[in-house]
Amino acid sequence: MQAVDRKQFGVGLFLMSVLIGLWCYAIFGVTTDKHQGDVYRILYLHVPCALTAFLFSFTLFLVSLKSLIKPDGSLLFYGKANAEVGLLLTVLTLATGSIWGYPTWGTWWTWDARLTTTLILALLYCGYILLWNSLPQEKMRHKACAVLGILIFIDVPIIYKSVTWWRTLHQPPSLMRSGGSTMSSEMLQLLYPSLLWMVLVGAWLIWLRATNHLIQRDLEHDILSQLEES
Amino acid sequence: MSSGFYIFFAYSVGGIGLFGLAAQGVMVRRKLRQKQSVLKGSGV
Repeated sequence: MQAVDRKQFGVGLFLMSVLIGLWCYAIFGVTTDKHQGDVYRILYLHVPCALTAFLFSFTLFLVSLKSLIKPDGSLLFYGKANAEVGLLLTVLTLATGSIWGYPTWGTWWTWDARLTTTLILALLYCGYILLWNSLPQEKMRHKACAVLGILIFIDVPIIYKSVTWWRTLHQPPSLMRSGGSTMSSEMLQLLYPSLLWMVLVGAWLIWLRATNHLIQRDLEHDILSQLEES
Repeated sequence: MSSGFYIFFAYSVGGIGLFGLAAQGVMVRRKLRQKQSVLKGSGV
Protein backbone atom coordinates (compact mmCIF):
# COMPACT_ATOMS: atom_id res chain seq x y z
CA MET A 1 0.00 0.00 0.00
CA GLN A 2 1.35 3.43 -0.93
CA ALA A 3 1.95 6.10 1.73
CA VAL A 4 -0.64 8.43 0.16
CA ASP A 5 -3.28 5.68 0.32
CA ARG A 6 -2.41 4.85 3.93
CA LYS A 7 -2.82 8.51 4.86
CA GLN A 8 -6.14 8.79 3.02
CA PHE A 9 -7.51 5.57 4.54
CA GLY A 10 -6.34 6.67 8.01
CA VAL A 11 -8.22 9.95 7.73
CA GLY A 12 -11.31 8.02 6.61
CA LEU A 13 -11.05 5.56 9.50
CA PHE A 14 -10.85 8.44 11.98
CA LEU A 15 -13.83 10.27 10.41
CA MET A 16 -15.94 7.10 10.30
CA SER A 17 -15.09 6.20 13.92
CA VAL A 18 -16.20 9.62 15.19
CA LEU A 19 -19.36 9.37 13.05
CA ILE A 20 -20.23 6.04 14.71
CA GLY A 21 -19.66 7.71 18.11
CA LEU A 22 -22.01 10.57 17.21
CA TRP A 23 -24.66 8.11 16.01
CA CYS A 24 -24.37 6.07 19.22
CA TYR A 25 -24.85 9.27 21.24
CA ALA A 26 -27.86 10.21 19.07
CA ILE A 27 -29.45 6.77 19.60
CA PHE A 28 -28.63 6.16 23.27
CA GLY A 29 -27.43 9.47 24.77
CA VAL A 30 -29.82 12.36 24.07
CA THR A 31 -33.10 12.72 25.95
CA THR A 32 -36.44 11.75 24.40
CA ASP A 33 -38.49 14.44 22.67
CA LYS A 34 -41.78 15.03 24.50
CA HIS A 35 -43.79 15.50 21.27
CA GLN A 36 -42.41 12.82 18.94
CA GLY A 37 -40.89 10.37 21.39
CA ASP A 38 -37.75 8.41 20.52
CA VAL A 39 -38.29 8.32 16.76
CA TYR A 40 -37.07 11.93 16.49
CA ARG A 41 -33.51 10.54 16.92
CA ILE A 42 -33.53 9.95 13.13
CA LEU A 43 -33.16 13.76 12.90
CA TYR A 44 -29.41 13.47 13.62
CA LEU A 45 -28.97 11.40 10.47
CA HIS A 46 -31.69 12.82 8.19
CA VAL A 47 -30.92 16.55 8.54
CA PRO A 48 -27.09 16.25 8.14
CA CYS A 49 -27.59 14.04 5.05
CA ALA A 50 -30.02 16.56 3.53
CA LEU A 51 -27.97 19.69 4.22
CA THR A 52 -24.73 18.04 3.06
CA ALA A 53 -26.42 16.89 -0.17
CA PHE A 54 -27.52 20.50 -0.76
CA LEU A 55 -24.04 21.83 0.07
CA PHE A 56 -22.48 19.39 -2.39
CA SER A 57 -24.79 20.62 -5.13
CA PHE A 58 -23.26 24.06 -4.46
CA THR A 59 -19.70 22.67 -4.68
CA LEU A 60 -20.69 20.91 -7.92
CA PHE A 61 -21.98 24.27 -9.17
CA LEU A 62 -18.62 25.91 -8.35
CA VAL A 63 -16.62 23.08 -9.95
CA SER A 64 -18.84 23.23 -13.06
CA LEU A 65 -18.54 27.02 -13.30
CA LYS A 66 -14.74 26.88 -13.02
CA SER A 67 -14.71 24.04 -15.52
CA LEU A 68 -16.61 26.16 -18.05
CA ILE A 69 -14.42 29.23 -17.54
CA LYS A 70 -11.10 27.40 -17.46
CA PRO A 71 -11.33 23.75 -18.60
CA ASP A 72 -9.29 21.42 -16.40
CA GLY A 73 -9.27 17.66 -16.97
CA SER A 74 -8.71 16.75 -13.31
CA LEU A 75 -11.41 19.07 -12.00
CA LEU A 76 -14.09 17.22 -13.94
CA PHE A 77 -13.25 14.01 -12.06
CA TYR A 78 -13.90 15.85 -8.81
CA GLY A 79 -17.23 16.88 -10.30
CA LYS A 80 -18.13 13.27 -11.00
CA ALA A 81 -17.12 12.17 -7.47
CA ASN A 82 -19.11 15.11 -6.09
CA ALA A 83 -22.22 14.01 -7.98
CA GLU A 84 -21.82 10.38 -6.81
CA VAL A 85 -21.56 11.36 -3.14
CA GLY A 86 -24.34 13.94 -3.59
CA LEU A 87 -26.57 11.20 -5.05
CA LEU A 88 -25.88 8.87 -2.11
CA LEU A 89 -26.68 11.61 0.43
CA THR A 90 -29.88 12.60 -1.40
CA VAL A 91 -31.02 8.96 -1.52
CA LEU A 92 -30.22 8.63 2.20
CA THR A 93 -32.20 11.82 2.88
CA LEU A 94 -35.22 10.35 1.08
CA ALA A 95 -34.84 6.92 2.72
CA THR A 96 -34.38 8.18 6.29
CA GLY A 97 -37.12 10.77 5.78
CA SER A 98 -39.45 8.02 4.59
CA ILE A 99 -38.60 5.83 7.61
CA TRP A 100 -39.20 8.81 9.92
CA GLY A 101 -42.36 9.76 8.00
CA TYR A 102 -44.17 6.47 8.48
CA PRO A 103 -44.52 6.59 12.31
CA THR A 104 -45.12 10.38 12.35
CA TRP A 105 -47.22 11.02 9.21
CA GLY A 106 -48.62 7.51 8.75
CA THR A 107 -47.22 7.13 5.22
CA TRP A 108 -43.87 6.10 3.71
CA TRP A 109 -44.22 8.47 0.76
CA THR A 110 -46.42 11.31 -0.40
CA TRP A 111 -46.08 13.57 -3.46
CA ASP A 112 -45.39 16.49 -1.16
CA ALA A 113 -43.50 19.48 -2.66
CA ARG A 114 -40.43 19.00 -0.40
CA LEU A 115 -40.21 15.27 -1.06
CA THR A 116 -40.81 15.61 -4.80
CA THR A 117 -38.22 18.37 -5.29
CA THR A 118 -35.69 16.29 -3.32
CA LEU A 119 -36.47 13.30 -5.54
CA ILE A 120 -35.84 15.55 -8.55
CA LEU A 121 -32.42 16.41 -7.06
CA ALA A 122 -31.60 12.68 -6.83
CA LEU A 123 -32.69 12.20 -10.47
CA LEU A 124 -30.57 15.19 -11.55
CA TYR A 125 -27.51 13.70 -9.82
CA CYS A 126 -28.28 10.39 -11.62
CA GLY A 127 -28.51 12.30 -14.89
CA TYR A 128 -25.11 13.91 -14.29
CA ILE A 129 -23.45 10.52 -13.69
CA LEU A 130 -25.18 8.97 -16.73
CA LEU A 131 -24.15 11.91 -18.93
CA TRP A 132 -20.58 11.69 -17.64
CA ASN A 133 -20.38 7.99 -18.46
CA SER A 134 -22.12 8.23 -21.83
CA LEU A 135 -19.82 10.87 -23.35
CA PRO A 136 -16.43 9.42 -24.29
CA GLN A 137 -15.00 12.62 -25.77
CA GLU A 138 -13.45 14.71 -23.01
CA LYS A 139 -14.20 18.10 -24.59
CA MET A 140 -17.88 17.32 -25.10
CA ARG A 141 -18.18 15.74 -21.64
CA HIS A 142 -16.58 18.83 -20.15
CA LYS A 143 -19.16 21.26 -21.48
CA ALA A 144 -22.26 19.08 -21.11
CA CYS A 145 -21.49 18.04 -17.52
CA ALA A 146 -20.55 21.59 -16.52
CA VAL A 147 -23.89 22.92 -17.80
CA LEU A 148 -25.83 20.16 -16.01
CA GLY A 149 -23.79 20.73 -12.84
CA ILE A 150 -24.90 24.38 -12.85
CA LEU A 151 -28.54 23.43 -13.53
CA ILE A 152 -28.60 20.94 -10.61
CA PHE A 153 -27.95 23.76 -8.15
CA ILE A 154 -31.10 25.61 -9.28
CA ASP A 155 -33.19 22.86 -7.62
CA VAL A 156 -31.77 23.52 -4.13
CA PRO A 157 -33.41 26.94 -3.46
CA ILE A 158 -36.68 25.41 -4.77
CA ILE A 159 -36.32 22.53 -2.24
CA TYR A 160 -35.60 25.04 0.54
CA LYS A 161 -38.56 27.30 -0.30
CA SER A 162 -40.97 24.45 -1.18
CA VAL A 163 -42.33 24.25 2.36
CA THR A 164 -43.21 27.97 2.35
CA TRP A 165 -44.37 28.29 -1.28
CA TRP A 166 -46.76 25.32 -1.14
CA ARG A 167 -48.87 23.68 1.56
CA THR A 168 -46.90 20.59 2.48
CA LEU A 169 -46.97 17.70 4.92
CA HIS A 170 -43.31 18.37 5.63
CA GLN A 171 -42.73 20.80 8.46
CA PRO A 172 -41.59 24.40 7.69
CA PRO A 173 -37.90 25.31 8.23
CA SER A 174 -36.91 24.93 11.88
CA LEU A 175 -33.13 25.24 11.62
CA MET A 176 -32.28 27.76 8.87
CA ARG A 177 -34.98 30.41 9.26
CA SER A 178 -35.19 34.13 9.94
CA GLY A 179 -35.57 34.80 13.66
CA GLY A 180 -33.37 31.88 14.67
CA SER A 181 -33.92 28.17 15.09
CA THR A 182 -37.05 26.84 16.80
CA MET A 183 -35.19 23.77 18.03
CA SER A 184 -34.07 23.36 21.63
CA SER A 185 -30.44 24.09 22.50
CA GLU A 186 -29.96 20.46 23.60
CA MET A 187 -30.95 19.24 20.13
CA LEU A 188 -28.69 21.79 18.45
CA GLN A 189 -25.73 20.76 20.61
CA LEU A 190 -25.69 17.40 18.83
CA LEU A 191 -27.13 18.48 15.48
CA TYR A 192 -24.34 20.94 14.65
CA PRO A 193 -21.47 18.47 15.29
CA SER A 194 -23.41 15.79 13.34
CA LEU A 195 -23.81 18.20 10.45
CA LEU A 196 -20.13 19.21 10.50
CA TRP A 197 -19.07 15.57 10.62
CA MET A 198 -21.33 14.58 7.73
CA VAL A 199 -19.76 17.35 5.63
CA LEU A 200 -16.27 16.06 6.52
CA VAL A 201 -17.20 12.42 5.79
CA GLY A 202 -18.80 13.48 2.49
CA ALA A 203 -15.72 15.55 1.55
CA TRP A 204 -13.50 12.56 2.34
CA LEU A 205 -15.66 10.28 0.16
CA ILE A 206 -15.33 12.79 -2.70
CA TRP A 207 -11.55 12.88 -2.21
CA LEU A 208 -11.37 9.06 -2.19
CA ARG A 209 -13.51 8.59 -5.28
CA ALA A 210 -11.95 11.46 -7.26
CA THR A 211 -8.46 10.03 -6.56
CA ASN A 212 -9.69 6.62 -7.78
CA HIS A 213 -11.07 8.16 -10.98
CA LEU A 214 -7.77 9.99 -11.60
CA ILE A 215 -5.71 6.81 -11.01
CA GLN A 216 -8.03 4.94 -13.41
CA ARG A 217 -7.55 7.65 -16.04
CA ASP A 218 -3.75 7.57 -15.69
CA LEU A 219 -3.78 3.77 -15.83
CA GLU A 220 -5.80 3.75 -19.06
CA HIS A 221 -3.47 6.39 -20.49
CA ASP A 222 -0.39 4.33 -19.54
CA ILE A 223 -1.82 1.16 -21.10
CA LEU A 224 -2.65 2.98 -24.34
CA SER A 225 0.74 4.67 -24.59
CA GLN A 226 2.62 1.41 -23.87
CA LEU A 227 0.55 -0.44 -26.47
CA GLU A 228 1.31 2.28 -29.04
CA GLU A 229 5.03 2.02 -28.28
CA SER A 230 5.04 -1.75 -28.68
CA MET B 1 -43.87 -1.42 15.59
CA SER B 2 -41.88 0.38 18.26
CA SER B 3 -39.87 3.53 17.57
CA GLY B 4 -36.69 1.50 18.21
CA PHE B 5 -37.34 -0.42 14.99
CA TYR B 6 -37.55 2.76 12.90
CA ILE B 7 -34.41 4.21 14.51
CA PHE B 8 -32.48 0.97 13.91
CA PHE B 9 -33.81 0.79 10.32
CA ALA B 10 -32.85 4.41 9.52
CA TYR B 11 -29.32 4.19 10.98
CA SER B 12 -28.75 0.81 9.32
CA VAL B 13 -29.66 2.29 5.93
CA GLY B 14 -27.36 5.27 6.63
CA GLY B 15 -24.54 2.98 7.75
CA ILE B 16 -24.83 0.66 4.75
CA GLY B 17 -24.85 3.64 2.38
CA LEU B 18 -21.95 5.60 3.83
CA PHE B 19 -19.70 2.76 4.98
CA GLY B 20 -20.56 0.77 1.87
CA LEU B 21 -19.42 3.57 -0.43
CA ALA B 22 -16.23 4.02 1.62
CA ALA B 23 -15.45 0.28 1.54
CA GLN B 24 -16.11 0.14 -2.21
CA GLY B 25 -13.72 3.07 -2.73
CA VAL B 26 -10.98 1.38 -0.69
CA MET B 27 -11.37 -1.93 -2.57
CA VAL B 28 -11.29 -0.18 -5.95
CA ARG B 29 -8.10 1.64 -4.88
CA ARG B 30 -6.42 -1.65 -3.98
CA LYS B 31 -7.36 -3.17 -7.34
CA LEU B 32 -6.09 -0.10 -9.19
CA ARG B 33 -2.76 -0.24 -7.34
CA GLN B 34 -2.47 -3.95 -8.18
CA LYS B 35 -3.10 -3.18 -11.85
CA GLN B 36 -0.51 -0.39 -11.71
CA SER B 37 2.15 -2.72 -10.25
CA VAL B 38 1.34 -5.47 -12.81
CA LEU B 39 1.61 -2.91 -15.63
CA LYS B 40 4.98 -1.66 -14.37
CA GLY B 41 6.27 -5.20 -13.95
CA SER B 42 5.11 -6.62 -17.29
CA GLY B 43 6.01 -3.66 -19.50
CA VAL B 44 2.93 -4.21 -21.68
